[in-house]
Amino acid sequence: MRAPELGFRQGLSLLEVLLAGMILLAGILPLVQIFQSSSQRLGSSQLDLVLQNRAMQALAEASSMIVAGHFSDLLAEEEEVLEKTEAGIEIQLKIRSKQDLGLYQVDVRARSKGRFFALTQAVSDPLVSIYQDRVEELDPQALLGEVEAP
Amino acid sequence: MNPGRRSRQGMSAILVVLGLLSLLGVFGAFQMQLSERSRLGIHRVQLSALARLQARSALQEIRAKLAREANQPGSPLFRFLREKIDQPGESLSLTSFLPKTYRPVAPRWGRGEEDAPARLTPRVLSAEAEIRGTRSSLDVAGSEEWVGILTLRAHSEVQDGGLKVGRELEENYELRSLLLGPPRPFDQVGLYFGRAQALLDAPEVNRRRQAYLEAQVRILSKLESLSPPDLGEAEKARLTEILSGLLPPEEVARRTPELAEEEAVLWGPYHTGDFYLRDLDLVEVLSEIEGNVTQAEAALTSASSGKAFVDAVYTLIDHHSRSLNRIWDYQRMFHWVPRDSAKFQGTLAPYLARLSPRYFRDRAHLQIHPQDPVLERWLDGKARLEGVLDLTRWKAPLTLAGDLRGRVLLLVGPGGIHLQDVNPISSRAGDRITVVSLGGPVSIQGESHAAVLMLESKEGAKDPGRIWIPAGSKLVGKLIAPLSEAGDLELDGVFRDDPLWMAAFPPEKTLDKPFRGDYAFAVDPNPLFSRGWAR
Repeated sequence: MRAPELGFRQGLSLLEVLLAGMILLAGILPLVQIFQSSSQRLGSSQLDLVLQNRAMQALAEASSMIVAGHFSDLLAEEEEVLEKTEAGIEIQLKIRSKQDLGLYQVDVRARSKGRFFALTQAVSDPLVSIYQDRVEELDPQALLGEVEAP
Repeated sequence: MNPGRRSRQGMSAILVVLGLLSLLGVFGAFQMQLSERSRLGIHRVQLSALARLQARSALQEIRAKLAREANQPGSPLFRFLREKIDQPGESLSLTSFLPKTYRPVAPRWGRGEEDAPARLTPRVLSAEAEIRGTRSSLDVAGSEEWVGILTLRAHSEVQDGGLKVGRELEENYELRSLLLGPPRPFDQVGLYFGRAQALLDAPEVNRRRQAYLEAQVRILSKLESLSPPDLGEAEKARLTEILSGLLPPEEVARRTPELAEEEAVLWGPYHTGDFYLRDLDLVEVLSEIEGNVTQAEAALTSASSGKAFVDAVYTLIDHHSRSLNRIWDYQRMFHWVPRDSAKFQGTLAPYLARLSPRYFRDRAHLQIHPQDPVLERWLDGKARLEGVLDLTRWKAPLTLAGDLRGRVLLLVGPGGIHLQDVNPISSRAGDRITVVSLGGPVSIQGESHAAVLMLESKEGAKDPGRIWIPAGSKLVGKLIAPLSEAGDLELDGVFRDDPLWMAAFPPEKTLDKPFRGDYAFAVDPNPLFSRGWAR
């Protein structure tokens, strides 16, 4: 009995068609998986970069606020937390005062679609310049060497 | 159909499929490579930003350390900068004063646990700092105040597997050495008035002085005729004793010289306690004493006994001496110096440029607007400020009250300023307020510790040159008003000179230069410019 023809002009057996189909599937599936995985990794990288950029932008905003003195009433080791969501990205800023060092420590986190980016940066307090004691306590001779003549 | 031919046809179909798959494979490999290259490119950008951020964080730490230690007595940098303060133009390397380690920016990213350890550790490979391009301010020669550029540079690196990215970042800040108080040599005087005539009518004082000298002669010559005939031996001896204590009129005249009647300046007081500012008007003081002299003269002519006569002579001479003593005392406490005299020209006149609006405008390194949170927090006593603040854009009066932290020189404009119990408890070396008004009114109530400078300005103040220190109020510090024309002085309160605002040793050491320790170094909060390189 002849195998039914499947529309091929010359005619192919069912077995041959199945074999070709299986080879095609076996070849395409891993390729699709590879494409998918590669695309996901690229997407994650892109999202990480977006989160990082947004975090750094928030950091720059926090630095400007520090320069403008918005956190100058924070006591040593006190912390102020700011949070906001922009374009689906949650941003959290923690500003901690390190008064003895004339520094603020800014922790920033950006979160979106299950991924996050976080880092810490030091920002100098622009206005702190501690002038502790009356300078006369120093030995002026030692400081100046010879005292200048009038 | 021939079976062999059918088999070849089947094989060719499979070959077509395999060929297709090969094409897809090649395309896939190409696509993967492209995707991987994009991902690596993105990662490289990410690492590059992290390296830059690590460098920036390091620069912030450097800036904080230098700004802090530059003004911290006892730190090596404090001494180093002041040893070099008179060498503007030289490049000063501060690299040996930099931190040994830097805080890592500790980047973390991915899914899940956000407190996981940092995936990478960016490193600071090297850092440098120098002061360069310094130049003297626009001041008269001799000032050690200058403007320079503080250049900070950091080289950082991030490595992730085989991928290594290095960045170098440079930030340049304006740096100033500033004297945060009255400029030298005006810090040496408690009070300085450029137009002494506004305080006192010198010709009237001279007229009264002459009248007192003549009265002394007249009284002495009349004593014999007025003395009662029944004057006992004891009264005579006491009268002789009283009269022997009197200096000859020519010696009295020498010791109480006339006040110069031409345009003069006044400075002083050479006195450490409280001084009633209304006593600056010597004519008023003399008028009060004159009433006593008149009464004493009446008592002398109506003395009914020898003892009453001697007592009246004593009282009259005492009151009379007081009048002359006040003139003498005034000239001992204050220098009343004609503007064209050699004394003025050789001492303060060369430094008058330091009492000009331009002098202080050149030094202002922070411009603060009325709603600036920095100012609000400082005014609330919550924040410390250090530097020369320009508030001349304010149209409304500014009020300072209570404890204010830091060494601040405030430049105020037409709105003027009101001081209400500023730093009232005691003067503290670390908290020194100096108010410089460019013509706007200054008023003081309660006890305020501050140096007040009223400068002449044509900037449209409502009450130009008005200084109001009402009775019951007290200013501890300095009061310097170089006004030559305008000026509305209402001085009824108390003044006390405070050496806290003195910026150097006594004036005989040097009129020109403040003690180097009194300079502050101010770093602009924002960089002038930044540059970055890939390394």
